[in-house]
This record gives sequence, C-alpha cells and structure tokens, in this order.
Amino acid sequence: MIPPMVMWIRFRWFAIWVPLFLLWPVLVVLWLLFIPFVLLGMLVAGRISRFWKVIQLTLAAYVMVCALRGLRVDVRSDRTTFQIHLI
Amino acid sequence: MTSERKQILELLAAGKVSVEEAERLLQLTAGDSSAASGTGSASATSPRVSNPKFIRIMVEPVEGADSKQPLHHVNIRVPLKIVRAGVNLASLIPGEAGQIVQGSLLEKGFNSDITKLSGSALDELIEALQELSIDATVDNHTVKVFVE
Repeated sequence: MIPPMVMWIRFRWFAIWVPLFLLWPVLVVLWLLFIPFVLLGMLVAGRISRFWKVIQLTLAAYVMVCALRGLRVDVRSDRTTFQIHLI
Repeated sequence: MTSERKQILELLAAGKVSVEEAERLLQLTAGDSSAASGTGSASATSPRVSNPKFIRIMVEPVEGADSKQPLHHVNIRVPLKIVRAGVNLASLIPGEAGQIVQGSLLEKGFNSDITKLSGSALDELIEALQELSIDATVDNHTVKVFVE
C-alpha cells in the first residue's frame, strides 16, 4: 500500500500541484514523536487498553489515505471548472 | 433452465436490460457453465471486470447539443474502497450532472438513489457494473458508468 504521491488541483484559473510525497515522511516522524506521549498519557490515566485502539485507528486512516490514490475528479461546465487528481 | 438464465429473462421481460445486454449476459452464463464443466474457458472471452478498484462516471454533451442548455463535462474515477467507506458519489458530481447520471441509472433499471447509495444497494450496483456498463443518453448528454 502506497499513499498518493502528488495531488493536482485546478479550480477555475487557479491550478496547483501538491507534492504529497514530501508530507508523508514529516507525518511519520511526527507520529513517531507523538505516540510515546499518547502511550505515557494512557499509562498515567490507566487506560492502556485503549492504546491498541489508537494504533488500529491510525492504521485504518493510513489504509483510507492509500485508497485515495487514483482518485480523479474532472468537472467542467459553462460556469466553472474543477479538477483534482491524486496520483 | 438455471436460475441465472431465468433472472436474466425476467430482467429482459421487465425492460430493465436491453436485448443486447440480455444476450451478453446469457452468453456469460453459458460460458460459466461450460467452464465449470471443463469444456471451455469463460474467462478468456468474458468481459466481466474481476476485482474492480474504481468506479468511473463520464458525462459528455452529445455532438450538436443545444448550447442554450448548460452543458456538463464530468469525468470521475473514484476508488471503490472510498465509496464503500461512505463517500457520497453524488457529492462529487455537480447538481444537474448528478441528475443526468441518476436519470441514466433509472433508464437502465437501477432504482437506487445515488445520493443514498450504501450497503447492499452499492454492492448490487457494483456487481451489476462488473457485468455491464451503463451507456445512456439523457438530456443531450451521454453518460457512461462502469467499473475498472
């Protein structure tokens, strides 16, 4: 499973491509930094059993993000243009 | 007569599929049964899309369409996982184009409302699209709906 690497958006005259491949490593690092604090917080609060739920939720979110790869929406009418591609 | 053949003939009688589509479906069921009995290969000639990953909706104005009416160009490819997770297909299609797509589905016998597709209705649509693609002309627009 690979998440989308590039997002291309066009709304009317404005077009931009977003290099998502730069975002994912940052998010992974942030997640790795954040997760020990979550674990610690749950230990202190005595809710360590919920930690597995947090991991599951994160994995589910990752699977959904990966599923977005290949999404393509092109809508053009007389009034507006909207395009989004996730590659 | 097998239950599949009977179902296809019932769909034809109810006007939910065209004669050509019914013929194609009958050929498919014949292919399946011959493959099961080891006398032929259904998968080699079968147009069935196995393990589809995307649903594709295309709306294009027909050539020479009345330019006074608003014309829509829609080309949407949505991962089925996302649709199954609850993303509303209709939310990706602007209002009037959405009505055109809905009209094409109704024309082909799918009575489900695409704004409320979920669970069994969605599975039913995907299952049907694996066998057939929707190709209809509604309000000066050609509509194609298929899985890939």
